Amino acid sequence: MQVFKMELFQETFLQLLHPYIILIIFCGVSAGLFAGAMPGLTATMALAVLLPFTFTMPPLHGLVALGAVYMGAIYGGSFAAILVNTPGTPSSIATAFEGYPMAKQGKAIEAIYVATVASAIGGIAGVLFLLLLSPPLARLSLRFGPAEYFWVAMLGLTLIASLSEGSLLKGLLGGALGMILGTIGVSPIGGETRFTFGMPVLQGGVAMIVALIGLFVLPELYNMASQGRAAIQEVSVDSHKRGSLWHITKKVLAMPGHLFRSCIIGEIVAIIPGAGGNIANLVAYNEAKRASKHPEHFGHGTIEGLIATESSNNVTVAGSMVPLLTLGVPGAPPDAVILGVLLLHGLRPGIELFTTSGKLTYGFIISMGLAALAMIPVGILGGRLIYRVIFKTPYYFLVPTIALATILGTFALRNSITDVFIMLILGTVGYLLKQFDIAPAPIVLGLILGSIAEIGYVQSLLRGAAYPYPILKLFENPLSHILIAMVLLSIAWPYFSTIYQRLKNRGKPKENS
Amino acid sequence: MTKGINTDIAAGMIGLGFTALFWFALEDISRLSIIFPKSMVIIMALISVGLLIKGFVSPSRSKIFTQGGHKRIVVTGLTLFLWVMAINKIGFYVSSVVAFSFLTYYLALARRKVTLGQFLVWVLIIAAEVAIFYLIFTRLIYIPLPKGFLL
Repeated sequence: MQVFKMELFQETFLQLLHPYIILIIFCGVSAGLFAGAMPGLTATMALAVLLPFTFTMPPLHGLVALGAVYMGAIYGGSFAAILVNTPGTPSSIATAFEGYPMAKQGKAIEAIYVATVASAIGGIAGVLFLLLLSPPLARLSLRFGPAEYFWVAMLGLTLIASLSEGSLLKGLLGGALGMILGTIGVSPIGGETRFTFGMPVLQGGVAMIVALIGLFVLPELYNMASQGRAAIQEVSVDSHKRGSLWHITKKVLAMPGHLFRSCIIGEIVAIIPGAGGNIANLVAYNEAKRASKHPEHFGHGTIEGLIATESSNNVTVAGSMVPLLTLGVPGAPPDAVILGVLLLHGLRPGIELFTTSGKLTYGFIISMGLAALAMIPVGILGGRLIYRVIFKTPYYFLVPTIALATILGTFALRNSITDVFIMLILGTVGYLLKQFDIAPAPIVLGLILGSIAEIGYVQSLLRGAAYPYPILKLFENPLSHILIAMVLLSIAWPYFSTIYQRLKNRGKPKENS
Repeated sequence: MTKGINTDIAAGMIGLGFTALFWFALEDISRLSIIFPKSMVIIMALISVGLLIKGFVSPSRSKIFTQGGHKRIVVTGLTLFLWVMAINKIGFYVSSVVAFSFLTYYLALARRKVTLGQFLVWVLIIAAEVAIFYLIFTRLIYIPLPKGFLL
């Protein structure tokens, strides 16, 4: 399927350099950044809210605006993750693991710059992948069945070992608890209500973002209330040395292997329909830790982890367009909104989108690359502004302000006060569990991956009902075998790594001997 | 010097508590919907037992609730719950201004003395801040907020 034409690309690119389109891109990125930075306001919500404004625009302008909002929102999630330990969107969960410790060490601006540069690189990489690899990747995504989804979830769960902060058993307990919490409400297969404990309000289940806000925000809020400003240290940053953009860019570019691996992971996860930035950032973080020479530094504010999570989640913005533009299958929830816009303008996903409507499609794709570049100036200015607001505001104003934003963000998800109560209860329980070394991250991971694992598992069993052992359906396809091998490798890697290090050190003379 | 509590046993007990809670709720669920949650409950029970065993064999100990003022955590938590309860009854705007003002005053008291004049200025700032959020949500992004019997 030869769809890429250089002349068309050049013509479209020049068309996008019109000042009006550049203005749309900057406005879109800024609006997305604001939505992403507000915990509870997701990229999907930002796109849905801004959708009516694009109705009166020509199709290209509308798509450019939505692409820029999408890119900005995924990036904006990192601000809240770094500054208040609250992932603004689920795509920034792992950003909080490294970004917040950096902020606590007085490196908030440095963390924001790293996130900005990595996000921009990720965004551009996603666009390149989309331009060059759409047809073969789309064919690969079609091969994913229930068993493969189950194994993808299992692969994600191996991350618990990295998130357990010293105790694997407690991490596994958190993961199992998250998975069970994810089963509250209507069963995805069977349609029956489960674990509502006689309370009809629980039929809607525990929304992932509600749990995310509760488990990550409330414990920090309680810490800030009890410790005051000491909970977040403020150390001045020398903007000409450690925090300068050029210096940080060089630092990020000095890790090409790291960036490449994270971008590839982001792209692979992005093309799997339903698995977007929320999974990509966690998997990329885990792999970055595994590949690092100093995995013990992870969780204490290392830029390697930050680069992995922020580059991978921004790859998914354009990456998730692969199944959307080629097959009409939204790769992630925000893509469904973009699919709606395409259909509204009479554009049907498939080969025609790249040929008959090539100018429009390439315009949309390239504009996402420009939006990724626009994130650098917007992010630097916005980041400094948000940083100043957060660190200069007295903590007795900051705590209630974060609480207000949290309550509003949770309520806005489904216009439900019940969700706000669930958020408060989960957050308070999360704070108590944290005292016993049960970290919130594995609980959230279990919640995210639980439903994917359940659907894959039960559907596989149903499809294998004719077999003597239906569970064998999980082990049938070659793609499943590859994923199983990755799961096993992921589990065994720390042991291999330890044995390798021991063997390597055996030959070396002891330093002090 | 205190050794801190055995967090493995504590976590194991918590895990068993959650296991019991969800195990007894499994009864009324049909086969198709029970396969996955039942597996998870059993896995959680096994992990909890593992933690209890580890707690006796090689325990991890740590001190809990060691940092900051505990009273402030309790008051902040209670205020948040009361705030959310009041939103539906009194209305989002009024309840938020009241709860926000109280929290600000209470948390500020831990650090400094607050005069009546200062507090009144704060209330005005808070009323404006909540109004901005209220207007953004209701007028700009069309998310209706509960009005209750006041606003």
